[in-house]
Amino acid sequence: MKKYFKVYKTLLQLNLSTLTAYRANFINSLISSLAWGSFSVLSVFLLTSKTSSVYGWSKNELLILIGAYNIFIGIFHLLFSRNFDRFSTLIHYGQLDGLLVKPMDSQFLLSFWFFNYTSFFRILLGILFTVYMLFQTHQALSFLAILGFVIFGIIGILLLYSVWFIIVTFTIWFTRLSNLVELLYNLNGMTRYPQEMFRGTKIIFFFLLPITLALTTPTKLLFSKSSTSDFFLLFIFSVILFYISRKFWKFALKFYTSASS
Amino acid sequence: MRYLRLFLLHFEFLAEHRSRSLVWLLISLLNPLLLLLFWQGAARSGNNLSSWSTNTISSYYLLMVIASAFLTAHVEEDISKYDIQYGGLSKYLVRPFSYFWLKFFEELPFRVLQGFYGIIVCIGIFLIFRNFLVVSNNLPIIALSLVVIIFAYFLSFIFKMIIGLLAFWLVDIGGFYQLIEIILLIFAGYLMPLDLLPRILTQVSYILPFSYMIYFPIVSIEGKLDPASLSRVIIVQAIWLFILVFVYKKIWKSGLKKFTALGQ
Repeated sequence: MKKYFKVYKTLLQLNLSTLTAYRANFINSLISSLAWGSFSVLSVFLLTSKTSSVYGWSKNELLILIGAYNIFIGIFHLLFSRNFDRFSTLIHYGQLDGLLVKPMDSQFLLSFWFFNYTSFFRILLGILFTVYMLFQTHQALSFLAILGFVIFGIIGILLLYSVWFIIVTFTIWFTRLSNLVELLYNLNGMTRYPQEMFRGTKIIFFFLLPITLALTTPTKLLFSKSSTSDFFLLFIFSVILFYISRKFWKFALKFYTSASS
Repeated sequence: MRYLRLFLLHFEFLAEHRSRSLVWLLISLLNPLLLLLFWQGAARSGNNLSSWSTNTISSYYLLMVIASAFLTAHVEEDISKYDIQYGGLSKYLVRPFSYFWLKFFEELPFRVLQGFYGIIVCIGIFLIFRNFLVVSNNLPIIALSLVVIIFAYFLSFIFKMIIGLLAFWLVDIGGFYQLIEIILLIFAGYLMPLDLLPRILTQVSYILPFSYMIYFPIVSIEGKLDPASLSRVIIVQAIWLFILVFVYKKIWKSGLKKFTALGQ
């Protein structure tokens, strides 16, 4: 375990030096990170400009949800998304070998190789906006609610991570599907809508349930709307999906052909 | 005739990319359907949505699935990355075809297939959820709408060509593309019907060319516009088409002088 922390520290330093070495790249990724962050907030303002409440969520609650969404998705991008971006390239060109021969867990190396420092700005934006909205709505927050928000937020992020990992693992077999990641970015976008919205989708709802729970559950804690079953489900889904992601990756590796390396 | 050959040739290429195409379709499906659910809830909660009812707004997003699959060209990244940055443009330049039309017939098969997928999916959704698909049954309106749709495709294609060609000058273009995409999401009507936006934004969007690529084709086939306003839409489209073609020609000419075929 200690070894992993040490390696991660080195990776963080390496990422910081790339950041300073490729400054144009940094600016680009900063622009896109902030642009999408602001767009997500703006889109809720626009969508609710003619509506006062949707699926039992008031306009302000939807805005708090979008603030929380930016915090959590910012953390997700900070840690993971760039690693997923290069997944299919690694496999398609057989570069995965380089990771497999290292004396460490391959899932760890795949998931944590890159660290996207620019996402800090988006997280900051999200926090500022959420706090501002909470003040606007005169929401009294207990310490327990904030603690729950953080803990269940982390569990929600773990859930999203597991779903992403399971789906990109399929690129071991279908190496050309580099656009799967694009689909996953859009899947993340689902978490910014109220969970109640998906109840009417009948059979599809069953498959979407874990994702729709991921970020709405911790956010509901902020205005004490949550039900215990939501927390329970989120926790269970998270643990099970993470377990599946590890098992599935180990299984898929047996089919890795290392073509073109 | 030779362009028809090219078109068919690229259909073969497309067949190799079936699975990728399917994932693209899922992507283009996801957001309209989410927004559809959102507005259904909004309509049910008794909000006043001016001229939109649950049915018309549902069918707006169902048609959006088809429109975004069929009418949104994705040439800009190919052009900027593979043709200009990696120097692939050289292979187009030595061929006895115009670059514009080559790109056009490379892209069209993708749009036809995706549009076709989109139609199938919409029929499926329609059958499962029974959201009423509101389409005009008035023949003159349908005829005029077809003109709007064809003009819309050309507008979107030329716009994306221009954006792609900007890579002659801008080397790191990723952030810029994201901004363009966000502008399109709002002003082309991907996010919501433009007349539901705040008043000032609605007016701006009617002036900009983006609404004529996606929003107007959808509302015209839905039968929300009378022949007089349809003709007005077509006239504005023609004006924008004229402007964009002019810009494209200018950019192509001066960009070509800057092109160094780096990476070849």
